[in-house]
Amino acid sequence: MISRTARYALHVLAILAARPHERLRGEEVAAATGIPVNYLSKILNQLRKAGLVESRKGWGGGFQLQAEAGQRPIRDVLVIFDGLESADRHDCALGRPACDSEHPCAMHDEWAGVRDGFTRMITATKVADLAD
Amino acid sequence: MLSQTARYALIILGNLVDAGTEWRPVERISAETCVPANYLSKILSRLAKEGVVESLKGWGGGYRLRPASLKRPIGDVLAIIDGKGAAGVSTCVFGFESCDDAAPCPLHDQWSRVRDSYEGMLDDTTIAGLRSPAGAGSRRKPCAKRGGADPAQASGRSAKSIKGK
Repeated sequence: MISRTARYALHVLAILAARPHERLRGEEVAAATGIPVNYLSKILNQLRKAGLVESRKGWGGGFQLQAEAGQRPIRDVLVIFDGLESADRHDCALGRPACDSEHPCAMHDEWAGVRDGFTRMITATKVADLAD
Repeated sequence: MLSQTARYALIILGNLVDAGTEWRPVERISAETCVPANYLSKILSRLAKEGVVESLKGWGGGYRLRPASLKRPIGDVLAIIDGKGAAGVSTCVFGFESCDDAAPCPLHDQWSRVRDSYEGMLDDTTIAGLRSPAGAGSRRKPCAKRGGADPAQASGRSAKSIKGK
């Protein structure tokens, strides 16, 4: 349900959220998360473009959570990396285009419950909550 | 959560539930489920090996569900197709190896709830429950263009693949 890239992004944000007043160098984030460096720099770049992370170059520079980013739901992160479709899922578990509440597939109702739980998780959890 | 192959396997089994005790040739299953014929054969032989379906060679043959399979939960099918960890569901959402109740990751509790309801769904739904919803036949859409999905194309090709087995 969550791509590897989005999982990595959440991990990066968790590290940054735990130290909101510091700038962390790329190497530090890499060491803390275990994410390969070139993969990580792409993720950080996307987070920066989306306004979740700010970066400063040069001596004393590094990455920091953007001031208001802590209050954003992690759903926003999923939308950035996995797209709207995977954040607001309405798909049938079996991928049947004709499945709906009038003509439900065998898993329809329970899958709707799973989806709702997932939606609750990603809307209720804020980026700052990842710091725990 | 469900891999493409697992979804196909469930759709194929749904088709075989609809077929009841009749033997259904591969090309017909392919035409009705829109699963490409060569992909379909691989999935079916895997399911046959694990005793979920049985096959009959030759004219009038094909595949059918073993009667005992009707009561099996679809979790069994996923374990066969995707492996025991059913596509990484039992793992931590962050992929942390050390994540557990004692040392939880930030999403541990919420994710556990999502996972539990997912696993509940896999236990509660039986293969028998995969039958097509009422009226689905008339609403079936033609398969999207893709190798083996076209019935006319599929029959020629899968006749060969059945002989080859």
